Amino acid sequence: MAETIAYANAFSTSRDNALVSAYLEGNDHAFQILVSRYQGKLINYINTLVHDYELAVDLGQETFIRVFRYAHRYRGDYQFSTWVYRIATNLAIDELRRRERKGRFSLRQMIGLFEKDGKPLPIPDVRPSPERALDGKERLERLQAAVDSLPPKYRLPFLLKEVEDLSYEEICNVLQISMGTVKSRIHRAKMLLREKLAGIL
Amino acid sequence: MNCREVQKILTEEIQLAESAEVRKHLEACRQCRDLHRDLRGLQELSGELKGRTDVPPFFTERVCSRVSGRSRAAYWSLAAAAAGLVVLAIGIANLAGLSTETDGKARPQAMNGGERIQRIEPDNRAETASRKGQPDVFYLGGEGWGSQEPDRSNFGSQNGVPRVVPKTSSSGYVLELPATIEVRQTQAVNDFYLENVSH
Repeated sequence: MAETIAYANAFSTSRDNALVSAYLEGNDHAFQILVSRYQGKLINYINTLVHDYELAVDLGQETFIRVFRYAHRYRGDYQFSTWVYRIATNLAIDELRRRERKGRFSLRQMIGLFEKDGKPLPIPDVRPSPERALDGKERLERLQAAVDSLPPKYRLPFLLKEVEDLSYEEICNVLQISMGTVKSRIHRAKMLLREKLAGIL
Repeated sequence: MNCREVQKILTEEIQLAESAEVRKHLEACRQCRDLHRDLRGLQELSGELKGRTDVPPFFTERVCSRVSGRSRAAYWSLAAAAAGLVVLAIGIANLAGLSTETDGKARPQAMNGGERIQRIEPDNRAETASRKGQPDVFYLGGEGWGSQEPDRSNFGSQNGVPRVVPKTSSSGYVLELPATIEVRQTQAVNDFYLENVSH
């Protein structure tokens, strides 16, 4: 019994790569640990992009299914989290594009996706009225609106860095862009957000 | 260290702003100090976007069920357990009196002004109707039909018009039908109508 518990504890703290290997050798428990490890962050990340909880759950599920359907292709020379986030990001972007084609876009999302040349559209004034201070919820809503108004090329690296806590290297692998590009885009994202959120930061 | 170098540090790795070199620059440069303040605020506010979404129950099991045979079995066992709980809850609710059925027989029912009407069983009704001078009746409310002799004291159908009267002895209502009116049933089990007949 003690050996079983020790084994389970050691397993639950294993590195992602070891768990993927264990899963490929037929251990379903390793798979469950990986899902449990990433499900919360992943669903939150997708929901931040698509603003639809049910859809975020569905896409989160689809992400894991794809991860493990193609687990045998995972080479282990980059972090497992990178792979998971890349699939989730692609699914979320596909969904946003599908909405775009169907014309089911909110104005906020349209501002973000239709901007292709890097030149920001006119920035909505999200500064608070001077009469009163904003409470925490309002500040968060303003942040979300400002983030949504960023072009995807700035929004995605910003969210991956500041909300998902991925390293620059991981973001490079998720988005398949160079380190210099990642850093410059995050820099640009922060400068735009600072401008949009002037007065409440 | 110049402003450009400091701003690069602030936007890329703001935690490095605690170094003596950067702090010295911030003390002397208001522009960079403001940037530092705003980026700190942005970092804190962005942190509140973390973990705002709940994971639905059985998420792991649902995923497992789609990628693994063994996990699928575990998922269905959980689903079966959940379904069992639902059935149990319905059973308890029925026992607690949410249903007026007491003898386990399926009885045809109709709705009338939000009240559940329990109709007499066809055989019982025939027996009741055969009583000379006795009107055919329905109970409305939470009583089983025929389990108790109706309180006739409040019956008062006049001029052949049916009417509903509250029971004095217990909760519920009684619908009195004159002997010239019968309840007929169509082929559909729950479809009833009143018809004028002569006995």
